[in-house]
Amino acid sequence: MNEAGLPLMVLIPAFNEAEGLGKLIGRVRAALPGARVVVVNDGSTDATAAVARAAGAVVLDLPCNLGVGGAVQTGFQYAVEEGFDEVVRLDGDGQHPPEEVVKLLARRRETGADLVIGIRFGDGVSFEGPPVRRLGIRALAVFLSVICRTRVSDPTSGFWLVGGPLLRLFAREYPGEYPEPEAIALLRRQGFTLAEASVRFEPRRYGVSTIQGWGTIYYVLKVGLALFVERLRPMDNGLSKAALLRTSAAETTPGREACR
Amino acid sequence: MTPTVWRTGAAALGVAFLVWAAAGRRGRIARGILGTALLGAAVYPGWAERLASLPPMARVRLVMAVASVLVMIVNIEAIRAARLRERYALLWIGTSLFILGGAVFTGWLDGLSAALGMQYVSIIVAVIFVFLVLVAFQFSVEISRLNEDRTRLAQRIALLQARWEEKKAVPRPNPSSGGTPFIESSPAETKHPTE
Repeated sequence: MNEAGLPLMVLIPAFNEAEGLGKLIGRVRAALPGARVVVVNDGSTDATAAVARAAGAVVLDLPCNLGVGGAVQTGFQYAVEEGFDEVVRLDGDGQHPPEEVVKLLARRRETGADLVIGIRFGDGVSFEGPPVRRLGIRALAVFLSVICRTRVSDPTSGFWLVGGPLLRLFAREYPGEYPEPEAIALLRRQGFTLAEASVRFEPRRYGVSTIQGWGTIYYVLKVGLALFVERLRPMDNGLSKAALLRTSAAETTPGREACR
Repeated sequence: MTPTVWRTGAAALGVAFLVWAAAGRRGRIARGILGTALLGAAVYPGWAERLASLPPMARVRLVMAVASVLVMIVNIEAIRAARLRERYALLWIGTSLFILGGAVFTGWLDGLSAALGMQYVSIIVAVIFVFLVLVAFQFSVEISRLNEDRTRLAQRIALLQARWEEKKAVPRPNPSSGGTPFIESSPAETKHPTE
């Protein structure tokens, strides 16, 4: 709980999602009364910000398009500054039903994990498409599971529940393009834990997937290289789970180190 | 008759360019070089024949020397006009110094070309290529750093704007009813209202 008595923040990164965003925010408010809905408008060229404000969300208006990694990180920084302890991240395209968030929360209570990933009920994989694409992403999942020494069924799912000091790690350090697999590797290296929860996904209603066609090959290569290089990078010991648990949130307020 | 007219015209144009370069603020280098070249061609019209009579290697060296001096002048002028930071100019000036050194003093280059099995021209091309790759790499590093800075700044702006809008939404208390001032950062005003 933060000082305002709000237990949960719902983070929706949005780039040109005006079409379905109002309805989605309405569903979030119905399913999770009392949660603060925060939309990060990632430099949209449509009415995304206005739609979100009209629906009663807090809007973090990025002046330029940073990509999903930079947008999501802005939301984590807001959560840390506002004192939230738990953040649910939903896609703006309506793939992640807000009614299923309770399953993520239940799973976190059950396991105490810092991150709970919502995976598609059944095969556990939240993507559709040709076999090449499924194969590529499956390979990535296996690789990620090995280096993380824990099961990661779907590295592409963005249906996340993040809690505790992990929010402060992500507010400080969060990967850019296609951030989820790298973020998982990063949090494991810093000593955080993750769990998975089977949830019901909905078909994408608005917009198109950011990973399709030749993009799949680029995605797998880029993420593979990033995961490999990530292992070689020196670790910031001040951002380990143990270190973050020792320090207070005020000491790691994001933005103080802007433009190092 | 005709060559005299041409030479006079070229000389006048060259002087005009030099005056313009001395008086102008932007584009001084280009005008200065153009003016000098025109004036030089007018005063010494046999330059083309003289250049053609030189051995090929001397011509290549002359061209390289002139090019590297031009690169250096442009760099120093850009630093002077605060359009270029020294750290980016260093690579360029280093390259031109190397090429100039190779054009003026040939002894050490002969040893190098024997060791590498390359001719003078090949060595110059190789040097230029290596330095261009270094410059391109430096740019990639800088672009990544700038991108990171841009991300931090955009995030900061978004968070501050959200905070500001939240404050703005709170109705301003009426000062006569003894409410706290809306703007927190004005203790001087509240302490000394008569000043």
